[in-house]
Amino acid sequence: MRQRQALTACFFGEGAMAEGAFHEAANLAALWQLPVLYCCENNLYAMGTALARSESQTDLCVKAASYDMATVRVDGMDVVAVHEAVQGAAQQVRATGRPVFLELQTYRFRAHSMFDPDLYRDKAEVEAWKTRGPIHTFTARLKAQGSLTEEEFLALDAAAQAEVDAAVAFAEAGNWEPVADLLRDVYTPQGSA
Amino acid sequence: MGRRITYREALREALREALQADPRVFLMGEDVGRYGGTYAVSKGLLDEFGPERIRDTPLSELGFVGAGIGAALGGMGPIVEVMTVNFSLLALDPIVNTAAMLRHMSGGQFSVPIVIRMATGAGRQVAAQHSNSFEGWYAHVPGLRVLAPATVEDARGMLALALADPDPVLIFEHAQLYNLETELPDDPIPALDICSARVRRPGTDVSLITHGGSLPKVLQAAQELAGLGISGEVIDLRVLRPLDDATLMASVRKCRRALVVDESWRSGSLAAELMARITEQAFFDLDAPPARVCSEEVPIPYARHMEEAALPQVPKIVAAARALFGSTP
Repeated sequence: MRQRQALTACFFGEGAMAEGAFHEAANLAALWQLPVLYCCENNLYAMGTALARSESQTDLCVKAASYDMATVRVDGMDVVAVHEAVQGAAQQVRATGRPVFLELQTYRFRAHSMFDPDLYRDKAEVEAWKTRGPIHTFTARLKAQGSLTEEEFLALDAAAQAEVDAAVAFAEAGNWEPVADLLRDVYTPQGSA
Repeated sequence: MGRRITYREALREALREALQADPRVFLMGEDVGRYGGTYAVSKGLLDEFGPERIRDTPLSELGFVGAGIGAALGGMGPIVEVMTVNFSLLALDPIVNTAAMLRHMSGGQFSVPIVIRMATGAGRQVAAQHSNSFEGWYAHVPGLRVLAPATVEDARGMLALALADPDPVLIFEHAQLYNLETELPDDPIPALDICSARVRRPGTDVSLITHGGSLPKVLQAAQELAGLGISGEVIDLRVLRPLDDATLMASVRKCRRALVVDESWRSGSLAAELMARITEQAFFDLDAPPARVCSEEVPIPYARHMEEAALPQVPKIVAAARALFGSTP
């Protein structure tokens, strides 16, 4: 309505495709020709429920396409493929002003949360997917084509680890939010709008 | 100079004024455009402002309330009409979990300046699933402001104030009020606020506390009570969240008796909250326990005589008020 060139990227898991919210939003976006890039990270399990146990149609692109929306499926474990697919889909949204549905096929290596004993899938399945881990495969690919040496990789890895360590240390050293702030962000303070 | 105007026309004038004043403001909802609004509030606005700004939606309360929240975050001024409070249950998640909580969840980074209007209440023989009064549920939720215009003046004046509020505002229009007609001054429109309750009829013997569609019944009851020698002070809450305790308690301390009239069910209701506050804050000023008239605890029936029996009515209000004085007032 404001004729801006912005697009909205909306992220969700495949489990959310069973929600009415997805279908209502997809219908509105296609009907009103809204520039939305729907990014569905399909990791095959909605918490502990496998896709085939929750969806009558497990091809997510088919579901999205029923709203007259362009769809793109990509190997979410392939860094380069994801980059190209997202770039292409974003270009399409901007060029057409219409929504595009992008399915990123991926996997969750760890349990859903600290409370998840991870009893709903085979350990072998998890291990098989781990061999496709994007950091691992992308690193191997860069090394194979001579774009990255082992020393450079180790330096990058150490820098990333150091950044995380520093963030954790910063958080651990910080003060707890004062209880006096408990009610602070319920309503917008007068005069700040 | 004054003029006769209905509650419905007052709402439409307020919408027109808001749409004219700010190009970011738009109205969307089911049948707000071509149909002219389920209660004919937005009739004619499509021709005046076009389909971009008077936007018909599919039957997708969850979807279009969510889209309204997105529009508010994107700098627009959305007015979302959810046909009735009954259907707003399909949009509870975006209203409660997103609109009301985003400021908290984002550590104060995002406010959600959305206005959501809906009809509420019973009394038109449209049966249980279309006769609920759930505004009290929304008044339970921190992060929301909840308005219940019960007069033509408030119908005319509350919308602009709601749009100026940086946080989500819900406006509940009782379906029985749309045809209410009063004299309003042409200009200027009386100055209002969306934080205070109002005394609609001054009195000295009993505070009659109500909101929305029950106000005309309570005013009628106060009239009848006056004939019986009881001076009722009628308080129109206007704002269901946050509640204006100061106005309420000033009245209750003066009258020393309080009767709450609320069309929702009594268990866990706004009426219960009001009585709790009166008990907490004015207990030692009371000459009788606070009382209430609510709907009977049944789904609101379809048959006219049964519906009437289920809802607060003037005789029930009068009887409940008289009971606060024992047998001889």
